[in-house]
Amino acid sequence: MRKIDLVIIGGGAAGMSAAVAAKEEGCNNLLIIERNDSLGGVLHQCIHNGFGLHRFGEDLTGVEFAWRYEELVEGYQIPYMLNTFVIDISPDKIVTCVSPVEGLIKIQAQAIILAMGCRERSRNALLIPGTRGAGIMTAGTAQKYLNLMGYLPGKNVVILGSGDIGLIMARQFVMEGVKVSAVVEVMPYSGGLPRNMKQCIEDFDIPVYYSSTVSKICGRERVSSVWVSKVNENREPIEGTEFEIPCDTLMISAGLIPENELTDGAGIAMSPMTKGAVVYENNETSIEGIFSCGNVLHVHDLVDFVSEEGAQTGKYAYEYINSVNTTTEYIEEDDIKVEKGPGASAIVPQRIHRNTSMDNITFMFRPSFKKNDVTLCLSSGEKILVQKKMIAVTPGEMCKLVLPKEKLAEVKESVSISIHVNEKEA
Amino acid sequence: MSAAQNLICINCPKGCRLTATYMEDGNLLIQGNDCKRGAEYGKQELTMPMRVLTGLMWPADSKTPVSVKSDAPVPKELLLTCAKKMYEIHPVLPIAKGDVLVTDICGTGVNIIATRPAR
Amino acid sequence: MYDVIIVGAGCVGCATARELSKYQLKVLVLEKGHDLCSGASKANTGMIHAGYDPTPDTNKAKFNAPGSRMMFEACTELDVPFGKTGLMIFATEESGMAEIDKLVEYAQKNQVRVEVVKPPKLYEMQPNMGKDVKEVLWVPDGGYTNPFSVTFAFAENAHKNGVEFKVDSQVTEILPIDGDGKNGYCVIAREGATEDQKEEVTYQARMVVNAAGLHSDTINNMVSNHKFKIIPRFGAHVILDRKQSYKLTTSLMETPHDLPGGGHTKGQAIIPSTGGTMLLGCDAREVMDPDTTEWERPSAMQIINYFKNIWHTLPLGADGSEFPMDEIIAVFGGCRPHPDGDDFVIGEPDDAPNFVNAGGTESPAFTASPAIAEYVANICIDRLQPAKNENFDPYRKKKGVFREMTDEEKAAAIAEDPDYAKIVCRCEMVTEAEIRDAIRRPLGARDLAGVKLRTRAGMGRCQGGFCSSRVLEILAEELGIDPLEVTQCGGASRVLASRCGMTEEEVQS
Repeated sequence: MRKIDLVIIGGGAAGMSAAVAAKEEGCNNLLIIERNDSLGGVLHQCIHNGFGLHRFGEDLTGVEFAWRYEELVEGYQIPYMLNTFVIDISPDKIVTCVSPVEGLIKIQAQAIILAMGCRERSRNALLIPGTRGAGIMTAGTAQKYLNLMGYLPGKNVVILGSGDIGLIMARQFVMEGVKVSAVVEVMPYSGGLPRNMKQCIEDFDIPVYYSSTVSKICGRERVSSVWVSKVNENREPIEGTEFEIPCDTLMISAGLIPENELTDGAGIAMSPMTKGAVVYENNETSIEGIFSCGNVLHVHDLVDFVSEEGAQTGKYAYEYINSVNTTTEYIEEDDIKVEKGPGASAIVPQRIHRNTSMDNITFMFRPSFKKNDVTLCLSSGEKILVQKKMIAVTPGEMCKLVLPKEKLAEVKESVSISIHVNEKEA
Repeated sequence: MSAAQNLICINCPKGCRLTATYMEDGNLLIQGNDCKRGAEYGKQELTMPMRVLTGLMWPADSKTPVSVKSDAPVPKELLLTCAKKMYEIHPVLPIAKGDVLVTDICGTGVNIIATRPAR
Repeated sequence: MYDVIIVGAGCVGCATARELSKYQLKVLVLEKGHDLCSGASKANTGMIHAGYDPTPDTNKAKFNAPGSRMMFEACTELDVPFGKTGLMIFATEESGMAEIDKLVEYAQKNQVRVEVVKPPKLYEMQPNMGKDVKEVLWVPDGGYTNPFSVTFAFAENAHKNGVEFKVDSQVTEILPIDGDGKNGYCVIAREGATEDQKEEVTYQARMVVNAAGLHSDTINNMVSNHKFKIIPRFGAHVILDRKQSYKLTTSLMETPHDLPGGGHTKGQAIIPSTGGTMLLGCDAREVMDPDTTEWERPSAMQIINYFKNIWHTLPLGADGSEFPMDEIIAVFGGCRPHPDGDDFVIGEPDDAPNFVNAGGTESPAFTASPAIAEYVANICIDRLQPAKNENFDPYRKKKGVFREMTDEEKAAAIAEDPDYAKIVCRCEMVTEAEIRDAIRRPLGARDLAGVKLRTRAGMGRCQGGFCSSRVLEILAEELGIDPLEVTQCGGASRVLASRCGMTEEEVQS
């Protein structure tokens, strides 16, 4: 069996940045396994700009962002396998994969980084009733048809959900001469970035229906119209509020779900909140030596954050490889648990090693509401350790809090993250 | 002083909420921006809004399109005209990343460049 | 002139075709849909009913139990996956126990093995059954298979043994030759994939078999004065991902009961599927349009809420877990052909010689289909007295399913066909080799839905989000057509509208 120090599963933004960082730290025996015929992952179909401002200080398209990393991978001569699909990861870190050239291969890894990305929520998972003809697809599928294959999926589109991919596709459709009849959003506010609402929707006067959903799809062979209804507080359609919008395509942009079949298969503990693995502050999962980063860990707003997390994880994984032979005593009971307080959800990491070697611990999480003038709080017991005021928060934008190491000593068995709405001063 | 206009800065994902107010001296005051580029954006947006154009072109004899972008923002009102123009031109393969595929598109002074190599 | 024309390529029509292919007969199957298995069989759950519950002395009772035995046999011969896991009908109320008593009586008359099991023996059999369950009726001879695979397998095997099939062929008229049917029938069909391609085609056959399922009333009423009526009953099913299916070791069904709004239901069931997922349902509501697949939110919610409420009672929720809303991967629905006489309409009407009904085929017709087919085929064989087809091959083999292989088998499969290493559908781990095979094989897939039903590609939790564009490319390649011509489910259901930035003329050139 082949033996490799660090196997990275997935050659997208997370996987490539992890590989590059590990290589820069000195890791020479590593391998990226990618299922597609090129590195880059979903970035290949993101031909729009708005990437790279944080990472490279430049406004790049997704395609260019990927290319930067592909050049780094090539430049460092980091080995990668394309058209190779991992079918299993065992708890003792044997990676089984298949490729048309090499057949079925098993690799014994010392450390593994999971960087498989995410997939889109489907019409079916949203329980939208109606017919099942042609013309119903997710925004990512539409994006693939258009940007990678050169096909337009319809002439008149209704978009369900105002996630960023949906907004970007709305603009591109208009530019391609496709009518975008409506964007329908179940929440009372947009799920995408404000600038995408501005430059993709408002710039082209596309109607947006908030607190609404598609309550029925019509048309037997191909979509002919959809019904749009207002929703109640449980996000269920309210009968009698429906109206019909003629269209030939319903494009769904209603959220992303980490793609964790392999993680599950390995028996790694999962978080019901993030739908990703439960990780420590170094992005290590419940199985020692298996790490997770990028959208497979939790869905990010920006690829810049994905590659930042990937790079850190590459470094942590290499630290792990180097420390395998040094015996540090680890007692699970000493772990600090991270708890969700009011207003916060999808917190990463969920656990902290008491004897962590890290200087600062960064927590990423999502607000569970859209509110102005709030304070992000990190506390242990009654004691507030870190707080940060924010002008506004929305579930569409991730929040961040940093716990400096010196304050770790003040932490009892758990920390809690919460968001408080500040009272208006009279 | 005239009534303030609300804008959303599109320079970066932060999406700063800007207010733009014409002062009595005719100058424009931009507030709410976290950085210098926000002020520039606000002024530009009220005088001549500009956007980076991204899209696709069909190289001659190619089964798949190539992704392109404008090397500088173009006037917003010319976006659709430029996008249409790009489809009328069929560059020859192979294409290197950064190759200029259309020079001075629609008289804007802006070039359209490839964002990835294509063979 | 054909010896036999079978109207309808659902499970009953295809099973009948296979029976007839054991003889030297010229047989044609006409299917109105764009693919085989596109009516009631497509909306079936694949449950193999043991035959304990039909009212004794009905056609349902007569064909169900023998059909179930033949179905397990056919699955083995035709390389179709199945599970013989039995069925537990659980009673949580006194009224349910009374229903079980009635079922025991029926089962005895129908000669089907059943056993009433109460605690504590119940917990020996099913340790995770909830304490609310007072007793269960254990039906050991039940099971499940995949209704699409069964129907395709019957058809492919019939085709291999000489039967012809036509899809997109809707029978509009059946006229007796020479005034009565003694010399056979003219069968007139509208054929063509799309409305503008439709044309009228006339066939002649010595005998006609009506296996038209939801339209079996229409076909019968063209020929016989013994008219009947199909009342389409729509049922929806909810599919749960396979994460928790290890807890489902047998099908589970509530006891039959009266509905608050009138009517009677067999009860909601949760059954395993050959793909490893679980099917929940179904409800029943009468609709006007027999071909509708349009499900409604209230019926899906009713199924979900029912199982939410009893989850802890079932082995699935015994570990304290809640109903997994996140694991719902799809809802699907379709009509079952409920006949107004409440029983299968089988046999030759006395006013239509050489016309044989296999209609009114609501549940348990899927299970009964091999037995119905044998009975119907025997009428034809008695009449036509054909010679045996000495070359009849009862077996059908399809390409191995990658997901079910061991590592050694996977390695061998890839060595033989590298397309086995190309995973197209990630959720169901369906390979390019299986997809190409599904298109290339006789009566193969011609659209995305056809590939999905034959391979499970697109049937998993992402519902084709990742794989549909690749399956579309493979279809275009294999069928030698432009990707723009690839359809979702035949007819006018093209997936793509145009090439970007090109007019139609530019695409042509």
